[in-house]
Formats: sequence, structure tokens, C-alpha cells
Amino acid sequence: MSNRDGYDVGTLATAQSLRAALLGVAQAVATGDLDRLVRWCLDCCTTLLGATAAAVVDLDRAAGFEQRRVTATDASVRELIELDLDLPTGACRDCLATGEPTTIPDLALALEPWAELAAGARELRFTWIHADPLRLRGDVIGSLHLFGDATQGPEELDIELAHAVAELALGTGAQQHVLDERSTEVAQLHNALSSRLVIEQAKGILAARHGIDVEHAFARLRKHARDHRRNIHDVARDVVQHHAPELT
Amino acid sequence: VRPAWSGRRLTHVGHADPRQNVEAARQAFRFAVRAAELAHRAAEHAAVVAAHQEMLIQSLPSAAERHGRMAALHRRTEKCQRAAERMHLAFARNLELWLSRQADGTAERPRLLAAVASTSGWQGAVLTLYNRDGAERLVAASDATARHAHELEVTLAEGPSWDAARGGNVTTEQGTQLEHRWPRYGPAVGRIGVHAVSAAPVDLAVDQLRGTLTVVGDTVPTTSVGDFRLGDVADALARTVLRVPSLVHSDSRDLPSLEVFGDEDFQPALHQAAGVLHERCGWDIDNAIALIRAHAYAEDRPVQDVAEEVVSGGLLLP
Repeated sequence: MSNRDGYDVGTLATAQSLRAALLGVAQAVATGDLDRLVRWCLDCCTTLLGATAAAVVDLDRAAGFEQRRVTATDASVRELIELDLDLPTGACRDCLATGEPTTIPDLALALEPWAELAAGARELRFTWIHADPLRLRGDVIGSLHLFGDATQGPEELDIELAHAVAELALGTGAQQHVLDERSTEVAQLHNALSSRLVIEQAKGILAARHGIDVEHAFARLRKHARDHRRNIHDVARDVVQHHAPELT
Repeated sequence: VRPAWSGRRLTHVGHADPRQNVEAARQAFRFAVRAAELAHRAAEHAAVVAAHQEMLIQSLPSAAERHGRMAALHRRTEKCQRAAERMHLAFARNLELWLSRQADGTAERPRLLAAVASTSGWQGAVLTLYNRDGAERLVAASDATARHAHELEVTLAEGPSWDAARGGNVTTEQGTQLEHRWPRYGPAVGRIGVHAVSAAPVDLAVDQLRGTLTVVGDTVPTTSVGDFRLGDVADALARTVLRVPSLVHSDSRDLPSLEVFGDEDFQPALHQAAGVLHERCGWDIDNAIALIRAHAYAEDRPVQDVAEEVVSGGLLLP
């Protein structure tokens, strides 16, 4: 469906929501206001990312589960999460402890420790739930909970985006010693850049050696890495340094 | 600008299918989230750096010196932070524009370096990262002219980024001064329409990786237009882009990628071609790269074109 300017109506609606979301995050980041950022995140989840309701759990790990803050799009969802967090073996604590994201696409089939939360969500007429731990530099600092009522369940890309938005929102609230991590971060950058170039060089070498194009050379490199359970970067470096006779 | 350089579009985005447009909108949103993440890191980092330096200054014995150093510190932190905000906002705005142009199918994904250029008041910008041996690791450019100027500088072994890297200072020249200072580079960039240049070191505070930010244009912008000194923008790039690991790594694929940079910024064709020459003629990789560059310069063609021809077997060097 297109309007007379030729723009797809769906795209326009998304563009407007996107504009609002961008403005929201620019303002929230400028003020560094955690509440606003979390609100912005919840808005994104429900207006752009296919969830009907959402909640964010902000955890102070050192102080234990009692020092938590739950923000949600509505009171009943907030209450549901609070009640589950009070259960010693509940799904929310499990998510925070294991650091594993979980999607329950069919609430009727939920197993422990998700059964309790799933039953509560069904009473609120949701059809799927998703829980995602939120990390800051490896540590779990909270969780994101999405609730939906579409029969087909959540979309993977939406979940991924919601996760990025929520981590950004919560990350703002945490005090970090960036200075200590500077050299580690630059080392990661350096490795990533070198790795990329060595792989390209190895592609060129294998292409010339076997008279194949670079895509096939890359496929060969990747297959070799998988077959030998090795990192592709290490295999590429061996090729460039002539230590990979098995690829000749 | 010669025909080989003009109108080169490196990335095409835009779809006839409306559902794909919505997908593209989502993708734009993902980039915008990244941009916001960067702005957040800028503020966070500046605050921590300031707190740390403040502590050091407070331990100085002389009160006058403490006050002077504190004032200087605050000015510098504030400028870097403002430059970072401006840069990321410009990038986010470009992303938004890109999104609104999806419908005609010709829009090009915005580049971070274009936002860097506009923030510092210049027409084009190139970020180069190189290792301890001087080997290039990343060449991110705002446009084809800026990339061409960079290639001339590398091939002719003189120019603003060489001086900025060596001296550790911002280097700026325009008009006839370009030829006086750099007799080979000056006239060569003049022929591609570049009559003013400036370069600043990008300080990553480590030894293994260094960088330079070089900007090009018709004239040096007046301070009221530029507003930010190039050094502030280079600081902002170092602090808020290059130190964000989530922008460096992409776990879902085999290849790591800097998501704010494009594929061409890693010069894949050049490195593939170097691999081809290494295998075929026994050249070592660095010499092979130099040979491809020299050939491109002699033929007045983009390095990427020559490299692609080597890879496809159409060009037999040496």
C-alpha cells in the first residue's frame, strides 16, 4: 500500500516511530536520566518491536534481589514480574542467574521454572513471553521481559533490537571505570582489524593457488576451519605464513 | 575529478518491495541505536577521564597551578564531549535522511566519516589506523575524493597525515603552501580538486595501534563554520568509536566487522590482490601492496579497481 508520494505507508509509520524513538534517546542520553532511558526502551519495545507489553528489571547485584527496581508498561505486568522475582525458584531469578535468554512461544507448554510466570501471563491474555538478561561488560545487570499476543510469537530481529535498546538504557545507569579497560578494548580492535586483513590475504593466496575465485577460496578456508574446529583467523594466518600444507 | 572517480557508489540500499523497506527501516533503527550507544559512551568516558584527572590535579601542591590545570582540563573535556555529541547527532540525522530516501531505491548508507567531515567543517575526511610497523589496518573515507587524496599521500610518501603522525600535532595547509610543503603531494591533490588539507593524530593511548584523521576541502573553514578544532573531533573519534568493542565484533558471522565502517574501509580487494601476487610471484605482502599502489598511481586509477583486476586475473603484475 502506497500513498501518492510513492512511500510505503508501513515505512512511513515506522519512520515516524523511529523519529520519536531517536528524539527520545537523544534527550535521555543528554540528561543521563535512567528513568527516561528505561521508559524510552519500553516505548520502543511496544511501538516498534512487536511486543504488547514490556518490563525492565534493574538489579543491584551486590545488594541482592531485594534491591531491584522493576519498570513496566503497565501495573499488572509489573506486579507479575515482582511476584515472580519473589519466588526463590522463579523464572526471572533463573534468567538473571543463568544469563540465558528464553522465549516461550506457547504459554500452555511452559515447563519449570517458567510455568508460574507463563500461567500469570496467560491470565493477562498474552500468548508468548521472552526474557533476556542484560549485561554490561560481561556482568548481568538486569533483565528485559517482553510479552506479546500475536499467535506466531516474537520475531528474532525484534528481540535482538529490544535487547540492544535495553542494554543501552541500563548501561547508562552503571558507573564504569573505562580507563582500566581502554587497552583491552584497543587490543580487541587491533585483533579484529588484523584478522580481517589476514583472511582477505589468505583468500587471495588460495584463489591464485587453485585457480578459483575468492568466494570459493573463502568457502574452502571456512570449511577447513570448521572441519578442524579451529578459528578461521588462525587458519588464514597459517596460509599466509605457509604453515597450512593440508590446504595446498 | 576524473571519470574513474566520479559517481562511484559503494553501497546501494533501497528496495521495490515495501516489506523490505520496513526491514531497512528496522536496520536504520539498529544503526541509530548504535549511534546513541556511542554518544552515551562519549559522556561516560569523558566523565570518568575527568574525574581521574581531577584527582591527579587536586594532589598538586600549588593552588595556582591546581586552578589553572583544572580550568584547562574542563575546557578540553567539554570540547571533546561537544564534538562527540555533534558528530553522533550528525550521523544519526544522516541515518534518518537515508531512511526517508529508501523509497526511491538509490540512497546510499551514510558513512560515519561524512559526519566527521561536516562536524569539523570540511568537505571530506579519512580515518587511517595503522600498526606499529606502519601497515594500514583501516582506511575509512567519507567519499571517493577523500579516499583518492589518501591514496596519493600513501603512494607519494608525503603529506599531512605523515607529518601529523610524526610530529604528533595538527598540520594544516592551503593554496600554494600545499606545493611548497609537499612538492609531490601538493600538485597531485590539486589535480583532484583538493586545495586545503588538515590532519590530526588519533591518540588511542596504546602503542600497537595509531591513527590519523585527515580532512580535505577547497579552503580551510573559518572557525565559526568549523567550530570544533580537528583535534577535538579526533579525540571524539578515539574515545567514542574506536574504543567500543561491540562496534568491533560481530559474533554472528565468521568475519569480524566494525559496523560503523563499510566493507570498503577494510580494503578487502587490495589484500586479496596482495595474496594473489604473493602466491603467484613470491612477493611478500607489503611489497605486493606497494606494487599495486604504484601501478594504480602510474595509471591514474583507483587502487581498488587495479586490485580487483589483479584478483579476477585480468591484470598480470608485475
